Amino acid sequence: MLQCGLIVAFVALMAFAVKRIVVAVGSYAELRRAEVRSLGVDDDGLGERFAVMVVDCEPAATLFVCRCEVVVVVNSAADKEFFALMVERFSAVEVRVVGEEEVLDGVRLYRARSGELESLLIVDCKERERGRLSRMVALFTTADWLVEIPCGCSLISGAFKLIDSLVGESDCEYTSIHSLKGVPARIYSVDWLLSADRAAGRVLELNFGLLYRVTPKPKSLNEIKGW
Amino acid sequence: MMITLMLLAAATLVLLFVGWRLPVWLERRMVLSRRLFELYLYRILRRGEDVEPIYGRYFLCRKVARRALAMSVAYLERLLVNLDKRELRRIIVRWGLDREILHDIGDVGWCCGAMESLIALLPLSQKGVRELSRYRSSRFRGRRRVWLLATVRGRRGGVAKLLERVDWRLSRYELRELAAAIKGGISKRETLSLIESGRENCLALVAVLLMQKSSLIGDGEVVGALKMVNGKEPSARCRRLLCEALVRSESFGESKLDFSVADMGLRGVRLAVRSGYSIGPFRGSLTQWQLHYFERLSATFKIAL
Repeated sequence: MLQCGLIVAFVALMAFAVKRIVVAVGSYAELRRAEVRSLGVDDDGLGERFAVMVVDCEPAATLFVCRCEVVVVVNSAADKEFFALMVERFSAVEVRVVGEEEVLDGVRLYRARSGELESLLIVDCKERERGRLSRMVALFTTADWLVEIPCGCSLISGAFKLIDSLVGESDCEYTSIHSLKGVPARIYSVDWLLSADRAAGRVLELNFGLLYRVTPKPKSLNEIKGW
Repeated sequence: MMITLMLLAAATLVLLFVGWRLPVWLERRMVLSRRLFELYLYRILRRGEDVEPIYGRYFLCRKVARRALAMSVAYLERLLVNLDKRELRRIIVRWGLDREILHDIGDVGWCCGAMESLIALLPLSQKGVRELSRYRSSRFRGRRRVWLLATVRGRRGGVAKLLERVDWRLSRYELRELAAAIKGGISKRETLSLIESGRENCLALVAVLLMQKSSLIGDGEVVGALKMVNGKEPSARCRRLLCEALVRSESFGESKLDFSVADMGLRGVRLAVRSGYSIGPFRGSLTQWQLHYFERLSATFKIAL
């Protein structure tokens, strides 16, 4: 009886180890494939377009990301200092939509005038529920995909290039892209966020590599000023 | 029984150890590959063809070094314009990189997809292209793409004729890769022959080439070319690409081409807004919420100066 139990335990352990090996090898192969493939894609502006959303934190992590829109969500009532810093840092001006004040319901928009980022939008609102926030930000972006970058994380360079090649490879329309490795990432199609029913659609699951890496946070606001 | 148990225990331990360490080893391999890639880029740019895959203390990773060299050659071939490809080809032939990669693809390798993508990017000799012709009728789409891209890279002109032999619908990404492979641009005559053929792949390729401004036709002739493509009654996907090409051609207002929102999709209208066009021409075809959405978007979207 004991021997049978031992055999079962060993076989279970072996199955666990084999599964781990298969996953590691599969991820490595996918990563190699994506890496080589990214050599062939030019950032020619014809591919997918991404908007990066950061909530209550500085967009330092995204500064190196070119050709994408950056949306910073801030609550000016709760974090006056950070809001003032962002507006001053990027010379932002308020954008008003005539006749839509009641529709936007206390949401104020600021656009950056400094040219460090192609397009920076500061959204001043109290909403923090992720789903509603994404849908609201989707209203103000001209990109095809909305990416939320968690605080303290930065995007791995070339991540958008890889996603672009994978999305463009297939003819089907994905509603979102999920990556569960490292810091979990969810990227939503803006069309899907804007659609009224938001029916479940096709999800592109990334089994390889990381999309984000954790970056050390700036210690003080003065450090942010020195970007 | 005791021996069986001992053997099982030993095998389990070995597998557990490998399973524990393998992700770390593979991660290191990736890091090494990236480092060597940068090193070879630098060396090729400094010394030209006089570069060799060094192994040094990485002698156990000979294959990684050779792949990194092939990747840096592919990257340079892709990046530089008006480059003498012969030098890069000599590196490939001298170290037998193409043969090695083709050999790996021939086996059912675990990095097969990566190698297929890599061989499609390398500047191959005529002999290498001939060897690849066996992939033309492969049942794997990746291999057919390799054949197509390598053939386009290996010869001048005749793209329309080549596309006649392509019997599958090229994806958006494949079209971009193909347009990039025709790096020197495509002549007006060639563009016209692509349009004349009337095939969906050819028309879509013309749209992508016009978007990339790779077709050697004058700026004033872009709209004319698009009209010709439109006259061939292209598919919905092709019409969408045409709309994007038109928006990028900066002659959107004067073109008087009859495109609807259904042709463009929301993505196309967003592109028009991003490019600074008014939503006036689309007003009639938008639903109520779409109209509100695009009005708000065009009122609030501004590019930082």
